Amino acid sequence: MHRLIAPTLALLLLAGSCATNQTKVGDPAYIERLRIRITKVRNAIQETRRAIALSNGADYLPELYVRLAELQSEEARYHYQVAYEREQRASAVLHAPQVRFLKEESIKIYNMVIDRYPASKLRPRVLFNIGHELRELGRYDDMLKTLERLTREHPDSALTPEALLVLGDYWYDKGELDKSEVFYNKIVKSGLRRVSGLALYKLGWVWVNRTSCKNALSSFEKAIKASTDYLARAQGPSLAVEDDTTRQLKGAGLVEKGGTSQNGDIDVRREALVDAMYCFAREKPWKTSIRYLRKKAYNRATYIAALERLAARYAVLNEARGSIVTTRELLHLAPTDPDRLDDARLLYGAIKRAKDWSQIGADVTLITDAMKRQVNRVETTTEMRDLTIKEFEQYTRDLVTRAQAALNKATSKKKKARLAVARSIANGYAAYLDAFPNSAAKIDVLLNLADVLSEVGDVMNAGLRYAEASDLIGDPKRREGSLYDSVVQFQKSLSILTERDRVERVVVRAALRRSGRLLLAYPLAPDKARNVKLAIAQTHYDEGDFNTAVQRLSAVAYEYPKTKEATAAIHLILDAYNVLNDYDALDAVGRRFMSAGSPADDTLKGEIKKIVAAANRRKLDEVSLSAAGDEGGDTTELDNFIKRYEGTSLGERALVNAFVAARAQGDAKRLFELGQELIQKYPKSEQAAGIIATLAKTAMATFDYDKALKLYAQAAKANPDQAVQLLVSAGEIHEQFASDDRALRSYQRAVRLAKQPQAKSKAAAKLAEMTERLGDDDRTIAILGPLKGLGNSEVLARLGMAYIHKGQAEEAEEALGGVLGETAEASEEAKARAQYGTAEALTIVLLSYTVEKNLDSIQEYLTLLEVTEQGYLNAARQGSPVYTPAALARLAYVSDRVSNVLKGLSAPPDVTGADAKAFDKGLARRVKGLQQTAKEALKACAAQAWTNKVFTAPVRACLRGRLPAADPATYDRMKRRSSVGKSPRIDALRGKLAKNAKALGTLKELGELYLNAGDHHMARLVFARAVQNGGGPEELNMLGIASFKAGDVTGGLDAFAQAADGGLEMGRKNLASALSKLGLASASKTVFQKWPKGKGAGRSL
Amino acid sequence: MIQPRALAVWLLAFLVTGCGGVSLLSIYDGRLPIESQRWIADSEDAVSVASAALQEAQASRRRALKLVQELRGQAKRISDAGGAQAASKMEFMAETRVAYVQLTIRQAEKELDLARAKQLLINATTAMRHDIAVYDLAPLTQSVDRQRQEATDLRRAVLKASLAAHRAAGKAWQVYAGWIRGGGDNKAFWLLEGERKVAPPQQSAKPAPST
Repeated sequence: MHRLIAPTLALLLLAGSCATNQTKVGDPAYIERLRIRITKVRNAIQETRRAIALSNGADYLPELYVRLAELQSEEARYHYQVAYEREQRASAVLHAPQVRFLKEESIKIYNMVIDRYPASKLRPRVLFNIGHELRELGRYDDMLKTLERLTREHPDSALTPEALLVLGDYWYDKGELDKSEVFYNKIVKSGLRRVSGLALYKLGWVWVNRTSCKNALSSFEKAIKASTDYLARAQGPSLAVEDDTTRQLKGAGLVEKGGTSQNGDIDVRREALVDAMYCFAREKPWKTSIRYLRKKAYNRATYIAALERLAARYAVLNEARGSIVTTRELLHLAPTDPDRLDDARLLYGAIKRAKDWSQIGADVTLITDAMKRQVNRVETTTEMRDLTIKEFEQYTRDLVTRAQAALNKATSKKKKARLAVARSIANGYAAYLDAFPNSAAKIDVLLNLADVLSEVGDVMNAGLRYAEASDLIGDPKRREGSLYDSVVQFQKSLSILTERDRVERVVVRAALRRSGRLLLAYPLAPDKARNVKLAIAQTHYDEGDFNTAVQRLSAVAYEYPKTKEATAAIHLILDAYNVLNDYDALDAVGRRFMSAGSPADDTLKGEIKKIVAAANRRKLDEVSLSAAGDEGGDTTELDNFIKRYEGTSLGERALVNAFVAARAQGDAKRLFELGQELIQKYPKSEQAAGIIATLAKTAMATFDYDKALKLYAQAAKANPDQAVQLLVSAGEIHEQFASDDRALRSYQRAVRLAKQPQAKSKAAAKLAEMTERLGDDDRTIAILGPLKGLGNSEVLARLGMAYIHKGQAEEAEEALGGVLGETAEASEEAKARAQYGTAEALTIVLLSYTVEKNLDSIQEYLTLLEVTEQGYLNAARQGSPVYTPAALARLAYVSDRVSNVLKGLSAPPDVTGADAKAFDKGLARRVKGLQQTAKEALKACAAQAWTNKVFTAPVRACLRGRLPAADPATYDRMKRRSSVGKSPRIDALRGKLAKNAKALGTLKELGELYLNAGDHHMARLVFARAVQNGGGPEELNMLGIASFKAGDVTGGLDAFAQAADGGLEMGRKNLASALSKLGLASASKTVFQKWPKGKGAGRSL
Repeated sequence: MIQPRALAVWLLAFLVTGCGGVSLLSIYDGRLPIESQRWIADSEDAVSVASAALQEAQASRRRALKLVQELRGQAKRISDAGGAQAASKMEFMAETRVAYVQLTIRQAEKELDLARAKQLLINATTAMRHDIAVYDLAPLTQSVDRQRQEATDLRRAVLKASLAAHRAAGKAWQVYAGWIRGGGDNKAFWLLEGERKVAPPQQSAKPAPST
């Protein structure tokens, strides 16, 4: 157990010792490193000597010797450095015996190589090295001889330029500029070499020393170019391709790794540019400096170094503008260091001297930025920081206030340029305030800044600065002024800022309110107080807070009545309500401002009156629009308007709008009440005619024809331009109720009143149709005769027919000719009528013709027959429901009559024998043919009923099977209206139709009510509309009943036939029944053959 | 004779909607023709519009009540400054404003009720028209009519309240103007108590050193 204790303790002790802190090992001292190098080079020397001993007679022996000499030279250099360090680098001139010994040893070895191996390629290198050692030993004469020997004996060696450079430098150092120039020029002339740039650079200095700046500048520029070209050829700063030259240079220790030269680490491109600045400042204008440097400098460091040199040079030369541009550039680009403060000082001084305020804002920013960077450095002491801040606060304030003073003086400056400078000054002040927030001069600077901002039109920021200053100012009077200025600027700002500047507007409004309220605490002059209060109120208006705005504006108006602020406030109040579409409020407030004790003056009251009137018009429109909506039942507000503004244009407008609303709601009763009220109270209203026309249309839609007729008359009176049309419409209504005389009067009046040919013609056509229907030829001729001159085909055709009936063939021919003439534009119906009339005229001639017993007479008779037949056929082809069957019926009649005449004829006496027989035979054939035609024509006429569902009077005549001896083209005469249907239900249904005139169910129920009440005429019209609006067989059947009972036999039969066509059994039965009632028993039976049994129920005739 | 199909539809509708309530149709319901879909959509739109109007009215009320609060403060300051009568009229103006604002809210609520009642009626009639469900339309129609009447009454009441508020405002301003003419303090309306004194600066100003 005890045996284990000792080793364990020993182990712990060892561990403990391991855990103690190790001594930190730093880099060896420089001297120690040199001593190590000396040892190493000594070892190399020993090794080389051993190699030489073993290489006797070898080709490479000269190289070993040269290497030995170089190693000794290297050792000498280390000894020198050790001595230099030991002397604490006090002096470069040292007494070091081993250095001299080693160098002289080296020279001996080099000389031995030259003597023993005269053809060695190492000879230039050896000579160069000897020259080098001689120079370091201070044996300059020997050095000159050796290097000149090198240049002489080996002009093409890569070491020759190097040697020339050493020689040139030697003479330059001696002050022998001409001699040194010779050597440098030799290098330059030898082509592009490693040291060409350097040689040119040295030449540049030669010229500087000769005070020839022009040449110096040129040399420096060439040096930059040569150096750049050489490096470019070498593809970069290191010589990538190791050629013979490189090897020689390397051998001479002139090129090391990375290609830096032994001749000091001179960056010719940089040094030449920096040194060129000395002469540039004298030779070139300052304006070109930045451009020149940017072009010549190959990197930022070079650019900055050159700029620094140039700035310093301009400062010496007192070239303020040059200093400005260079220091600005330095402050922009140069790295942060204490030099920048100097640059800033330089810039300050230069600007002040040059009085160049054009970029004062940017300049102050540069200066303050430089200062801030410096004072924020960790190493800057508090004392230094305070001093620096104090110094630069004064500089920048001085600059920017001088700039402002200069601006204020310079009244002649162009506006644009002046604004640019002012903006720059504002930026300068802003930079100042940013850099020195606690400056004692802050108030003055803020006020100055606000003034400048105001001048440049940046009124928002001007206001903000005035407000900021006012928070700092102690003097009440001054503070009041600043606050007032801020309010004024904010007001201006609000008038300039657009909708896009939303944020700015919000800021300005809030700031204005704050400044305004602070200002109001002062005993302000009344005009200022008014202005401020209005401005505050207006901010609420601007931001759409209208209720608050109205409060404030009202206060302004009532506190300062009849002032311009009160006027503005009142306008804004009214406008606020207008924007809110609160017309009631607008009306109420407007009236208040127009009443006694109002703050508005008389002029304003006049304006308010107009505004209120316009508002009421808009209110009326709004009310009317909502009354027309689905919640439009409540027209209370409109009624209020009508009463309140009775007798005024607004009252009239309200009435019209209420009328429109009633129409939209389909409230017929209200519509008529309002319409009548309008016509009575506003008879000269421009809307009157339209209102009446609407009422009439509504009356028609609700089958209130009596009212419609009255309204038509009213409308015709109110609006003569539409009188013709209205009278025609009235005539049509009269016709429907068999009020023939009234209808005729209406049409005749319409013709009389019509001034336009087209309107007259239209009215005349209706008149002609009516007279034809009445079947009174004398009246027709009396009425239509004077209208011949219109040339209307409807008039002429009917007039012609009347003449035919009266046997006035010539007049008939003239009238009908007008229809059938080539130039006439006639309807198919008119053409049919005219063709028929012509045939009728021929029939008169034919039937009165006395056939004599001679061939010519018979021939003429037959020709006349053919022409007549052709006339009827032409009429029949027109497809008229009246004249087609009439023409066929009359053709049948004429054929029959002529066949009877021909039957009684025989061959004339002068025709004998076989001719006579043939003649008689021909006549017999003709008779037979005519009889056949008569039968077929009558049959075709009757067939119109079944094929075309036409039951006009001529068709009905044919259905009887009788040949018409007179013109069958007659019309049914409507019966007089015997009963007028009236009941609350009828009224209710008509009210429904006011909302929807096409409601089929309503129409059907109404028609039945009328029919039951015996008002067949009205029932006929109701069912006709029902059929028009989609009614089917049942409605057609009802139409048939109503029509038949009203005397419109044709219409009734047609409707029944269509109902039967639609499959309604009752339609078929009613048709048969009606025909039977008309005495057409055979046709009645035929109905059941023509239509199959139908379905459905329906009313029986 | 009840058709089996109609009975089934009625039962289904009863079960789906529960207690005879109206089941709202979708505007994308494929069973409905485009016109009926539009009809349904319009009724939905009307509810949305009325709902938005109610929200707007509530927001307006908040703003108005804030203003009324301010108005009462102004009235107090005027009273303190010796304008008791003007202050009293301003108080009254504030009261009428509050009454008006409350009524506008009620009106907006009622318009929403009306829009919803109409929506139910339109859905019910549309469903019946297209044999989707069967409803008793009478109570729905009565509901619409009742809401419509109440909405109309409220509209009139709002108009009346608005005019009353304006009358009160007119009177208040007249009295205020008289008080000002008689030498009343025209700052009382504008400035809060703390703002009436000239505010001291936040920082004492120093004269700028000349350079």
